[in-house]
Amino acid sequence: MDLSSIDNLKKILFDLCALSGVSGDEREVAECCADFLSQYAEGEVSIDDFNNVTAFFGDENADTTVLLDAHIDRIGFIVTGIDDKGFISVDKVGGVDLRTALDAPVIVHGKENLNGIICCMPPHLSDGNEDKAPEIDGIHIDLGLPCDKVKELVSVGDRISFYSKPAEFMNNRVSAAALDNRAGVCALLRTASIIGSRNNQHKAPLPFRVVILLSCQEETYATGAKIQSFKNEPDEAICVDVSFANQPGVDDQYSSIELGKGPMLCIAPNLNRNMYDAIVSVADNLEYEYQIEVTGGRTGTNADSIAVTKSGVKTAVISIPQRNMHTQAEIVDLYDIDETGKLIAAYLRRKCAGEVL
Amino acid sequence: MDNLLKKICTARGISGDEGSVREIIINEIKDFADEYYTDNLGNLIVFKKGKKRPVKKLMISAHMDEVGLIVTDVTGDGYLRFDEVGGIDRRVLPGRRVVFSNGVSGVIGVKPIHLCTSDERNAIPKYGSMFIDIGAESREDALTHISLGACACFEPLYEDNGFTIKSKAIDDRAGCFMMIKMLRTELEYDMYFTFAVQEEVGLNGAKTAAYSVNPDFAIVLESTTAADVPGVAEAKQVCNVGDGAVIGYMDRRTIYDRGMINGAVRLSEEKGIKLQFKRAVAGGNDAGVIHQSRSGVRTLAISLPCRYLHAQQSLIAKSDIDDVYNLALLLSAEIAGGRL
Repeated sequence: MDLSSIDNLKKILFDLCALSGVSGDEREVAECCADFLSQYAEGEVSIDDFNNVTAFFGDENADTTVLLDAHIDRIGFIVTGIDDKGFISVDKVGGVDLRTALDAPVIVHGKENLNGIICCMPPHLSDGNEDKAPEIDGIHIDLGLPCDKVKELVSVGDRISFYSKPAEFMNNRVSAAALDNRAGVCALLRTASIIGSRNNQHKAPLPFRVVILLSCQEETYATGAKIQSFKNEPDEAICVDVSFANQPGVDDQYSSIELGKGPMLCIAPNLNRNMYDAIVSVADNLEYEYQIEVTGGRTGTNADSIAVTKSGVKTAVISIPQRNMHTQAEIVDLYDIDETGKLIAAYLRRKCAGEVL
Repeated sequence: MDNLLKKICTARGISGDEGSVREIIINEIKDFADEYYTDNLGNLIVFKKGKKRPVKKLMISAHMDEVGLIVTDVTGDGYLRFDEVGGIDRRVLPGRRVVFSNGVSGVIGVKPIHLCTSDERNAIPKYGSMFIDIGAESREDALTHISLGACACFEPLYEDNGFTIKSKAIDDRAGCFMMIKMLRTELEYDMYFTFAVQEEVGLNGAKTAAYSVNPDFAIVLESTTAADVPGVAEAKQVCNVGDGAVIGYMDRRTIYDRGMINGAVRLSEEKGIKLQFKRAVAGGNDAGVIHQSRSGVRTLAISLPCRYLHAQQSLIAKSDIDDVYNLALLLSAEIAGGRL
């Protein structure tokens, strides 16, 4: 598939967002991504026991390894119990925003995917707490099935994801649940489509080793990034995730970050400033748009774990601007995904010309 | 007929904007009605002849409108300000997808929880500070697609899993569905059917429809508040999904006709139809204006127990549709035949 077309990029993104993959349960989305990467990767594409996808590009015997990471898991819930009427009780997996929970459409990933509703009360019987979001103890899911049927199809430990049908808004902007971080995954698929030389004899493989890691469990304990960066011993890593764009109520430094103005390049104490400078210089030379995100502490991404792996990894973070993070109403701009994918490929190309660092 | 419920539930028809629902209903009933017309408010009033002339003039009524949102302003950045049309608990709005009549979609956004203060994290925003985001870049950009007063519906997500149905607008398209079904059967007596507008904003349509029809009796087919969910004490659950048709002695608008209640109870026992009493004086429906029409109309509401009313996804049991339909059909013949 030619990902230089925005329509194709949208199609693969919508396909990815429609898949399950709440932290710890990423097998389905991992398989989809592994299939996709197989058409480009020169080396092995595999899925490990934790549902991490790795795809190898370039010269596998080279001394230098660059790790490109994006997490494939999504936030959601985990089933903690089923009552005698068939209602399901849950706990959070990742930073679920309970302000968006009541009456939300969800999919319970039981023996089959089941459509559910998070229970709520009608306004006619209001408890008067309309200004207040529910607590997790007050979250119950109704599948509209008899209790015995629920118990047959659903088990404690099954995952639940928010459902929202991926949709296109105005100006190339799209909305779906799980854009955090399927948007980042999509950007790395775009990078793979540029750097990968399998099935294309006119392209030369990169002269160093590149690992694309689509990592599991970022939303919980960054397990995927920790174990795979340990295993692959990268010299450099670029972590691709989503970050905050301007929207009503956002009045801090993110109020100047716009959708559709290119990826956000992050400056943080634990990130490597030389890599940042090199990426900026590549973007400037190619006249790619970018925005700058500065944080005084941790980045809140896999980079925080990758950077301190073994004796340390030079790490950068590139983020796709997003609104309404951790809700079913996440919005990103397709243009920013495309630019992110292209910028990373351009950085690698320039690195192989020996100009970087 | 199963597809019909999906078709009318997923159609758009916020109070005051019921035109497309009415068109669908007209198409479904025009070959089965003897007369029908749309009145000045937009009510669809239908007359169907039965095998016999009625002893008592009966009107069956359901409302076509649903709750939704209306655009009140557009910010300089292109976000849509909105207000509710009909009663909506704000807790069911953040994160929801909405659609406009021209196909434009949007979402009701919330400030990312990571950037919220501890107070904001647990607070549902007020109407003035919640916005629909359609991806517009500016006020001018938004206004090329959306004008002030545009109505937004919850995005339709309809599912029938064999036991229950989940959809928006079950209140009260399920009532419309049952009336269409009645109109498509052979009736014993002549009857009037009113598909009313603007129930959710003050029972406006039913008021003028009842005036025009001038019936002796009325049956209102509605969806009512089932609160049979975890965390609600048994005594506060009002009615139960799956336990059959719901009738009540009284709600916030009406004291119901005792003779009709007794008739419904007798018929349910004779015919083995599941019937439950509403266990709270709560809510209200078009019966509120119909029973006070002109010099008074003997009125009963027969309702479907429905969870999560006035939100994107409500839920009803398929067996309850049959119970409400069968009871309404039997009771209507008793009334029109003068046997009550």
